[in-house]
Parts: sequence; C-alpha cells; structure tokens
Amino acid sequence: MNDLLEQFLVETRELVQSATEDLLALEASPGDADIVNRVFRAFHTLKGSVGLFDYPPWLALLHAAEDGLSAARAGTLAVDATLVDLALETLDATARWADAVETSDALPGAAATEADALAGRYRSLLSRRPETPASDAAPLPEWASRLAGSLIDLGEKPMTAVRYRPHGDCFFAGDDPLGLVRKVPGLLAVSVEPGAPWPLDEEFDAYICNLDITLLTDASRAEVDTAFRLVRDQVTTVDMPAVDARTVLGGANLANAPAFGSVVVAILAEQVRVLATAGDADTDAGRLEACAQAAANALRSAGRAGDAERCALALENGAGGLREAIKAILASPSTAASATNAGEVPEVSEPAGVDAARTLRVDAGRVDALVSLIGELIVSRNALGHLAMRAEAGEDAATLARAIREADANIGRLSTTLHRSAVSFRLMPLSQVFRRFARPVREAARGLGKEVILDIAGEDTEADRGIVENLFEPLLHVVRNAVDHGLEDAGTRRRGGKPGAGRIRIEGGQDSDGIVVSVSDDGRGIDPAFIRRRAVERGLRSPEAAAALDDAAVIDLIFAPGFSTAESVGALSGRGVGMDAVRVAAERMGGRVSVESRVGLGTTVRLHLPRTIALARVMVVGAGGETYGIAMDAIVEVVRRPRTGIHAVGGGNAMVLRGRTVPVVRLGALVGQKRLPIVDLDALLLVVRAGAEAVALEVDRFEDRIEAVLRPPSGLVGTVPGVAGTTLLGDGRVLLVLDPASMLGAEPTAARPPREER
Amino acid sequence: MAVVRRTDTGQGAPICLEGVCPVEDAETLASLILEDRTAPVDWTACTRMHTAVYQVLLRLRPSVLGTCGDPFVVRWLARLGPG
Repeated sequence: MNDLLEQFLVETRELVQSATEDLLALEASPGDADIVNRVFRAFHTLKGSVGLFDYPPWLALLHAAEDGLSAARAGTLAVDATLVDLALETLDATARWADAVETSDALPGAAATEADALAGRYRSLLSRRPETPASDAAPLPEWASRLAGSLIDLGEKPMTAVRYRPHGDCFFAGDDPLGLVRKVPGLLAVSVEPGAPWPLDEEFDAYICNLDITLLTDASRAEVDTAFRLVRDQVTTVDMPAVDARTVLGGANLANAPAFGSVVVAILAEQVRVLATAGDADTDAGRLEACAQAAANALRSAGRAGDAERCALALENGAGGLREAIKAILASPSTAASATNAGEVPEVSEPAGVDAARTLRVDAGRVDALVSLIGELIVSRNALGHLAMRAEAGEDAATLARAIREADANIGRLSTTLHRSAVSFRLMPLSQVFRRFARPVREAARGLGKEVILDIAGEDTEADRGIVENLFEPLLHVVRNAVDHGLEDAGTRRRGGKPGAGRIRIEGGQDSDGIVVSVSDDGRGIDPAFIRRRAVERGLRSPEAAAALDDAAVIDLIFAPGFSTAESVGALSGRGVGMDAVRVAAERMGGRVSVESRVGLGTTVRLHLPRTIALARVMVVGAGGETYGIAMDAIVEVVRRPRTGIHAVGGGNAMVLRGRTVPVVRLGALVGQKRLPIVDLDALLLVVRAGAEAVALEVDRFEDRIEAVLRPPSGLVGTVPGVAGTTLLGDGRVLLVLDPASMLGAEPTAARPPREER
Repeated sequence: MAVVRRTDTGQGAPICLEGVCPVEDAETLASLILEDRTAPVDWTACTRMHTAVYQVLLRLRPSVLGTCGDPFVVRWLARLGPG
C-alpha cells in the first residue's frame, strides 16, 4: 500500500469518526450552525481526499452528501432525523469501503449500487424542498446571458454556462482555477473578472484569489461536473438549451427542468414521441425495445443508472408503461432516481478487514526519548568491550566481576527504561473507544423507546493499544445492559421522581498502576433478593449458601457463568445478560470486573484493567521435577509452615492462617503430576487470590524471581486453561507462567484438585 | 520551473515570464511590477500560467510584450493583456 493511500485511510477513519460524533450532536441540537458547518466540512474533506483516487461511486456518493449538507448549511434543507440517518449511513458505507480498499485495494462489488441508492436519497431530499433547483433552465441569470451575448455565433447546440467563484484561499489549497477551466471540453467563451473590487496596490495580495470566472461550453453538464468535481461548492451551472425540449414533449410535464443535460432530455422526449405514435403490431415489439434501450443509454450517460434500470423494467408493461416511465423520469428525475433504489441497499459480503494493519501515531517526544535511550545503551555496550580487554590483559577476577556486575546493572536499567518507553508507544487514549459508544447507545435507546443521555469522562486516560482495542466489546455489553435492563422507561422513572431521560456515564481513570473503566446508570439497580432467588433456581448456589452471602457477594453473582440465559430477565433483574462474558474478557486482558448497585438508584460496573502489558514480575517455583512461573500480582504472600499445621478438611486440606481457614492445594496436583512422597517437614506455600477467596498453593521449591515480558498464550498452549503466558528463562528454557486464579476457579466443583492424603 | 526574472537592473527593462509559471511566481511578479511600474512584462516564453500569475497581470495591468506563449491565455484571456 502506498503512503498516500495509507494516509488517506487514517484520515478517512478520523473524519468518519468526528463526523459521526457531530451528527449525533446535531440530532440533539438541530439548529446548531457550527455543527452543521463542521459536518459539511468533514464531508467536503472526505470528498476531496476520495477524489484523489479512482473510486467513482464513492466520490459520487460523497458529492450527493455534500450537496445535501450544503443545502442544510444554507438553511434550505431541514436538519432532521432523515438527513442525519442518511448521513450516518453514508459514513457507514465510507468506513466499510475504506476497510475494503485497505484489504483488497478496491471497492466492494455492491458499492456502486449502494452509492447510487444513497445518492438518490439525497437527491430526493433536495428535490422535496420548495426552492427550485439551480439547474432550472429559465430565466437565465444575468451573467450567463451576458456571456452568451458575447458569442458571435450562437450555435444550434445546447450549451452549459458555468460560473466559478474560487474561494479566496484556494491557492493555498493547491487549486489552479484556470487549470480546471482548461480541462473543460468544448469551450465557447471564457471571462475572468475580479470577484470584488480590487484592493489598493499596496494591499494587493497575490495569493488571495479574487476572481469571478464564467464560461460557456457545448459540453454536457456531466462533463462540466466532472471537470469541476472538486470545487462544486464554488460553481454554479446553468443549462442553456438551444432547442427547447419542451415543445417536442407536448403533454409531459417539464415544469421542473431535469438535472441532466438537454441532449438527454431531447432523447427521452423523442422516445416519448415515438412511443405515442401507433404502429403495426409486428414492428412495435422491436421499436419498443429500441426506445427502452435508447432511453436507458441516455440516462446511463447522464449517470442515472437507477432510472435506466427503471426504463428497462417498464419495457415489460408495453409501450404505454414505458412511455409513462420516461415521462415520469422527465417530470421529476431526482425523485425517480431514488425511488427505485432506496429500498434495496445491498448486503455487503466483502471481508471487513478486521485484522488489517493500522498505522500507529506516536508523539514525536516519545520517539526522541527512545532514540536518546538507545544512544545510552550503545555507550554501555562499548563498556563491555573495554571490560573484555581488561580481562584479556589479565586483570584479577574479583575486580573484573565487580565491573561486570556494574555494567550489567547499567544495561539492565537501560533496557527496563527502553521497554517502558517502547511500551508507551502503544499507549492510546480511551477516547478512541469511548467515542464509539454514542451510536450504539442512541440506537439501543431508540429501539427500546427510552431516552438516554450519555456522559463520557476521563477519556484522556491512556492504556495499551491491546487493552483499548479489546475494551469495546465487553464495554458495549455492559452499556447495552445498562440501557436495556438498568434504565427504566420514562414513565416509570417519572413516577419514581427521576427525570424522564436516563443517564449513562462511561468514565475512565487511573487506579494505582492500572486503569478503571466504569459504566454507571441511574436506573433501577439490582435487587439482591431477586439475584438470590435466581441463583438458587439456576442451581448455582444452594438456598442456604445463597442466604449466607452478603448483598455485595450476591450481586457479584451476575458474573457467574450460567447465571443468566437468553430468556428475558430484564423486567425484574435490572441486568444480567451475558455478564460472565464481560468478566471473561476483563480477565483475559489481565483485569477484573466488579459491580456496585443500589436498588432504585442505579448500578455501576467497573472494569479494572492493567494500563500496559508491562514487565511482569514472576516467581519461579518448582513442583516435582518441573518449573513453573506464577505472576507476582497473583501472590498475596509467601509462607513456610510446618506440615503439622495442615489438616484434612472435608474433601481437601486446609490450614489456619491469621485466624482464617485457607484451603491448601498442591501445585503438582493442579498441573496433573503424579504424587511424590513428601520429604520436607515444612510446607512452602504461596497464598494466592482465586476470585474472592485466598488459596494456599503448595510448591516444592522457590527457584527465582524474575522480570519478564509475558507472551500471551497462543497455539497449543492457548487452549490450556490456567496458563497466563510464557516467557524465556535465562538458560533458554521456556517457562510456563500459570494463572492460579483460573486454575482454581475455572470450574468451582469439578476442577477441585483430587484429595490428598497426608 | 522558470521564474519571473529581470534581465538587468535598468529602469524599464522587461520582466520575463518563462516556461511553466507556478503559483509561487505570482508574488515575485507582483513585487517586480510594483517596484517599477514602467517595466513591461514579456510573456512570450511562458508556456503555462497559473491562475495566480494571471490574476497579478489582471490586477496590475502592466504593459505586455508580444503574444503569450500559453495557448489557453491567447485563445481565451488575451484581451486582458495590454492594459
């Protein structure tokens, strides 16, 4: 992929994103001229950059969108849900096509039809407004007739008059207005005049364009539009039919002059005339087909594929049907164009390019810091060479050892810092994911007939790319739940003394060395009594156990797998669909999730996540003949206890630690090793967190404590539960780093370790 | 490519436009004309003129020498030549 395209894709996505946000904001305050302006500019820029490449349907669609928004900006088109929805659909298409272009360098096959349908809808929006379109043939504006008057020989051919008033700053945008005029085929006259009275000599700025360019051409309107496609907002085009098609047409209503060239009109009118004359039955079929073909070709040449299709279809209805169809197209070309296609937006089956490589934008300061660190590293490495020379010269071992240790410490410090700053490249703000919620929330709320106000805070909080990018789905789950189950409908809310519109707040923030992302609603909250009942019904807890849990622990049960099913729990529970999926996702990212709720006041779900995929501190332990790593985060404490303090309790072993009974599990048994005879008198125990409980993990040896970059489990290892990742040991062995919580907690009953006898 | 130049420093020496005159030439041309309002502009060697350059001529109306080398200007815009 070339740089230009890459840059284009990055920019396109940003523009789509910002325009989407603006459109949603616009829906909330339809009168805001600033926002309309911003949306218009976004579409204008999008169109401009798409125009650099060869994607005609895309460009045509963005053109149509720009026209629509331009009318909205001028106040001639109402900014309503129809326009906003249409613009959002356009952005959707744009985003999809950007993905398609990235993966396959081409638009999806269905893009042309889709673009046509969407563009048609813009046109029909525009044709609905009361103002007559600029293309209306009569009366000719003064500038056009003046220009026509300057012609010595006013030909028989229809002409197109163009007035092009370049923006004052167009030179800075790289425009060469006359350069565009040069490209217009069939020029008949050109006039260039100052757009406004010239400033004084001293104040004349050669780089401010102050020109009013008018021209006459016998080229079709479509050709003219092509030449000026990138500056359409600065151009007025007027058809100047030499032979008035109206007279040929007779009965057909041409009050609204069609937006295509008069040649096309003439062709269509001719077909109407031919069809109206009755012929004998034999020749009629052929003539009918020829007429339909001619009309369709003419329409296609004018870029009206939809109408062309319509003619072809009307052929089946005989001469009368075809004639009516053509007349209808002539009468209201823009409405007709959309009617045929609006209903059938094609399904897009092309791959969405989920895994497509994305460009990473990095703050230059971070790169500078990295470069200077690497400089230091090189210096430290040189010191090693010096040390080697000293060793060769026969310096004594003790001095050398000290010097080597020093160099090692130095390089160690540098590599840690290097890692940290390289990791910071991957940091991105949460706003990247937060901003994507405006639409789903709006749609979910709309679907349920609720009013929802979405608050977003702390979007500047940064986290690793891997975390931020994986955050959307679980968060979406939580947010949907909040809209669906958390918030009451407006009536219920008002009866409860709350404002009719529910409030959902997505907030990001720092939490020691991690981040917290919370989703709060001011809805009905979760009723612990209901959860208790349901947990018992689902067989997750016995009635006694459920009764023994405190309310917080009960609410936490919504994350238990199997707590909720597809069946509707919404009415009573407040929430609960698939919250276990959220917990799994959070844990996969090395985080956890918690919930807090007050009946009648609302619920807050918090995702606690690591900020970076940092160097993990790992404790290396031995179990039987093997070595495993356990992430230090998971370890609460390390204790050595005489074996006599461990007792067989129920199905397993337990000991008392600081007044609490803690289950004791042998690591060897957890990883499925054969039981070896116990020789030591003391047991080495790692107390780890497993869910809310503490569990003591008995190991045979403590071997080392290392800092390591954990590789996420993948391949064969990826399918094994309880593996947090792998890393390399200093001697080259691969260390499996275990995740005790998931080993112990994966299946609370079945996966309990086998009983051990002591 | 080719910029606006002045062959010598004498009063009234022509300002020459040569080859393709891009947008950057507009300011140079404007300042040269304003420096010496008697200097004519020789545009015979100019093969293509940017709008901004043309605008300078349109605004400041120097006298021009010969026929412009840019056929588009000759065909459509030459009437604006000698002011």
